[in-house]
Amino acid sequence: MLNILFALYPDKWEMYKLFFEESPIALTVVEEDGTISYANKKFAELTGYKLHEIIGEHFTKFVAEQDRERMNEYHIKRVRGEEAPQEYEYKCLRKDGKIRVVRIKVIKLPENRTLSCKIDVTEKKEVEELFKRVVESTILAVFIYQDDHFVYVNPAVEKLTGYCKEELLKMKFWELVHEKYKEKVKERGRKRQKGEEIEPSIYEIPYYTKDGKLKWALCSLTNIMYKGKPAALATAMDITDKKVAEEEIRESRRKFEFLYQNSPSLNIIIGFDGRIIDINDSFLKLTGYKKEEVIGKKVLSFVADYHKEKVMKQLEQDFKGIKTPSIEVDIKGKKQMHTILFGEGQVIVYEKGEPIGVLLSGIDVTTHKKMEKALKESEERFREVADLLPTVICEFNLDGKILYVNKAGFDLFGYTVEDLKAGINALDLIHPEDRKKAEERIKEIIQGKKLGPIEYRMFKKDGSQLNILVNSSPIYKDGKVVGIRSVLTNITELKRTEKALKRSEEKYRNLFEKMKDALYISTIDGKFIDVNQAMVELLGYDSKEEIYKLDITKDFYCNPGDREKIIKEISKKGYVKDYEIEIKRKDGKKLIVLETCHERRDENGNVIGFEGIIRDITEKKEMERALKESEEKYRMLVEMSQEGICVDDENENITFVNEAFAKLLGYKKEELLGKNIFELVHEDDRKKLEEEVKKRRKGEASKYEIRFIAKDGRIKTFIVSAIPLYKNGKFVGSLSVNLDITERKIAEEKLAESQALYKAITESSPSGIFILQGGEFKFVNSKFSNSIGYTLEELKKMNYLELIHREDRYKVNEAIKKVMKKEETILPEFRYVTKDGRVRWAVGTGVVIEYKGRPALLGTITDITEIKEMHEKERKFIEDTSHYFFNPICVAKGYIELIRERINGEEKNMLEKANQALTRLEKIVKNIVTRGEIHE
Amino acid sequence: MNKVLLIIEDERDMQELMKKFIEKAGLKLEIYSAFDGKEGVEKYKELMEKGKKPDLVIMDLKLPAMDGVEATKKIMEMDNNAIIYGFTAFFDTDWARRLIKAGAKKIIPRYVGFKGFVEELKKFFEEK
Repeated sequence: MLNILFALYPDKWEMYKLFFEESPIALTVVEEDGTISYANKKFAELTGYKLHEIIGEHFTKFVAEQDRERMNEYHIKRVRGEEAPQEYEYKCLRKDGKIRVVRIKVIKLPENRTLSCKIDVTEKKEVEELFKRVVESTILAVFIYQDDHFVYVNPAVEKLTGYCKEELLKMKFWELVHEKYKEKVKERGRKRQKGEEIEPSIYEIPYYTKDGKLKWALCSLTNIMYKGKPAALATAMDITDKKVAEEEIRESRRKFEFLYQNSPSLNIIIGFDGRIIDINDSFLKLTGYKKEEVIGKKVLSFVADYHKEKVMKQLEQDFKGIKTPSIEVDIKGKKQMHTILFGEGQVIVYEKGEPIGVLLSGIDVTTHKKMEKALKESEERFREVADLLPTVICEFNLDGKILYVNKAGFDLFGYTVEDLKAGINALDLIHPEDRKKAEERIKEIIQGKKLGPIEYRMFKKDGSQLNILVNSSPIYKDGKVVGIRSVLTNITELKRTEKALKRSEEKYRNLFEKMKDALYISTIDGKFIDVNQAMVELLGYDSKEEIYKLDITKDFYCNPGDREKIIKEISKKGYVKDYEIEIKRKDGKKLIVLETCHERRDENGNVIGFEGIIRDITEKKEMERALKESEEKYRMLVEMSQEGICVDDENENITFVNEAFAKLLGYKKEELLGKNIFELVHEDDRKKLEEEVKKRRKGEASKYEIRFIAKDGRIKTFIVSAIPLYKNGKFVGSLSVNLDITERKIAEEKLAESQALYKAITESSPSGIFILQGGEFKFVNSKFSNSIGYTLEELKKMNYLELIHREDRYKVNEAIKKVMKKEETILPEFRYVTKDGRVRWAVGTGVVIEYKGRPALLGTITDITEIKEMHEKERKFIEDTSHYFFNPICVAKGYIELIRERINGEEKNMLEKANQALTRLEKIVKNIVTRGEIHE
Repeated sequence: MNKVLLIIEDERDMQELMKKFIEKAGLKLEIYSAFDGKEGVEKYKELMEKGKKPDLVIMDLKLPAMDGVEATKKIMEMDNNAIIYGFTAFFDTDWARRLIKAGAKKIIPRYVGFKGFVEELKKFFEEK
């Protein structure tokens, strides 16, 4: 055929040669017997064979087995002059065994030869399928909005919102968004629709589902061109659970902070280095310091020098978590010294799961101590007064050794202080006849019997005798009788002595009433007979009289058996100290208290009741419980969290990770501790991490995306939210919450790749591609647009039939009807008219697709005008050659044949030669017409 | 009764030579001529009406007024049993294929010459 063209248009030989050999379409010429006589470079590239390996081979060698029979059948039909499909798809078998999907168009040439044009459509098919599958099956919600409306949503969007696709496509994109964010989302979305770049492109948005639930989504947006217009492509995932968990953590923390700050107790958190980490407002208010004056300072610098050693020892125990007794410590306030009673034990304080110090809780007992001091001073004053008294007051130990005697005693008995220092036994002063009686009484007093006054005869130093009325009582120390105190009255001076005693009693009474601790005196049968005001207030009664009516067993203790238990304890050693027990207030509220109590005995030593002190520790207990619960809650949250939580120190070495973090990277928790975080981060992202760490050192919290390398070498992409951590005002590391978005990332990348590839293929396709719906163009690629001369906007206003040549409209319309019924996929050869009025030939394909919820036709057209024109010229050439050559030759030869029989000799020979020459010419013409070759 | 042959051919030389070679070969045929497609069809009709339906029609392709394909179609419409042979220079063209499609039984290419042509006729009439 090339030769024919060459013969016809010799000057265009190079052009045709180039056209065939360099054609982007794979071309072959197949002979009648099925062998390939010509193939171009593109075909060699398609099959992976060299050109010389192709020429002379049967064409079915390059066809996959499943299509071989069918293609061969078509070929045979064509040779026989029967109808066979001209354009279809088949599977091409490459040299390397791979299969490619190829679109073929077969054109018949003279002498039962065929010209095949082939286009490789494998990638296009795969990409289309992949793109669809990825978007439709991803759990990531993917949607596109344009002109304020959703124009595309994948099934995940339906799941995320509860609306079905049809409902969503009627909605405006901001309709689901929470009111607070609606205007902002609308404004940003509209800018994006205009093609403006908006940052950030990832954010969290609250929205409502169809059933009215408020949920949170993490959205990622990007600008795209969709159907020729700017649009926004968004992906979203449900992060509601994460948001709820965050809210709960905040609430728990808020509760703890409230308790910690608002408790009347004095709370202080001391770090293991002895420095103060935190202190509550009550403490600051009491001591007069500002928070910044205290935080980070050594706690000992606030402790009175004389208490430093004991505090140090106790803190050591506290740090080890050993239960320590309550301790009284004098703290240097800004203006004065405060005595603080810290409770028993301690609470270890955790931060991000790591112990950082201890929480000590105390109460201010300064006033109480002052009162004690006042008491001591009062006692001293009492002694001074006692010295001024004319009555003799004397104290002696259980052996009778006199330890104290007032001035009146010295004066009355004539002894000196030196004598006392040398040692005087009280019994020695008693008349020998009264001495036995005195010894018995001492024993009774020691046993706790309360005895009335007795008269003894006694001697002065100078031996003279006195009649003395002696009134004795035991001296207790730590609940034990350690001595006896006696008041000796010279009987003549009895009245004066009695008055002095009464005054002393009043003093004690006053003290009893003013004590801030609740004090009581009760009877053995369970009635209060005296209580102080603190007790009335503690129990919430209006008056002491109400309390006196109570049955202690039933109305005072929460558990009726408790009184019996306490009495049993007291009977063992005469007292109980700091016995923890629950008591009832008038309003029924329970109080946890510490009770210290000892027996009261009558003068015969019988137990007649009890005296005790009640200290309310309810609030402290409640606070301890709340603190523990709150702490436990944090730990649970951190451990249960699905997000990886990681804490590292100031050198980025990991000090804590939760189970989820370890799991995300495939490590065990222990393996990660001590590891430097940089080791885990992807090499290319380390610089980024360095910058983020720098930010944190400056005190900024930040959120960023970074790639980690898991233990098995896989790359994991996390969204990291990190905050700096401080201790004593110094940067000590970071806390990060890590959300694994690897899957999402991969899906996004694949989607982007697939889209890019899809677009590239569509745009670089040598065929025009279009989507037709209801007779209107919805999409055309640039090839289509360029071939036909109209833009998509112009085409949208036209009916597609306007583009088709008048004579071919019926044919094309019928073919499209068949395609829409899925009966046909090929559009027959037809003519179309370009914008500038040129008539061109094309073939096409069509399939039915779902477009915006309605069926549409996805079609391709390939311009075959040049091939067609060439074919036409060739036909004309052959016809002309046949007509102008064969007829005259045939006539000439016919006449020669007739004449030849009538002549002889030389003339006949000459005529024979003329006939032979004509036969040669005839043969040449035949070769031109049938083979396109010029030879005999 | 002699067999009837109708030759539809616009070139007079061709008509004459065909007749001479038939005569020379000793074939006893009653030969009728037509010089364009239209005339050919009319002649066929006329002969049929006279009870002299041609046993064979020799048809050229390139004819004035009506081409060979059209003429063949018309004849076949008139007589479905008509036997038409193409004798043409356009033996390897779509045109020739269309002639077959229209009902012609055979194409005799011009290059076989008149001897070849007569051989085909002999074969046809002998078989008949």
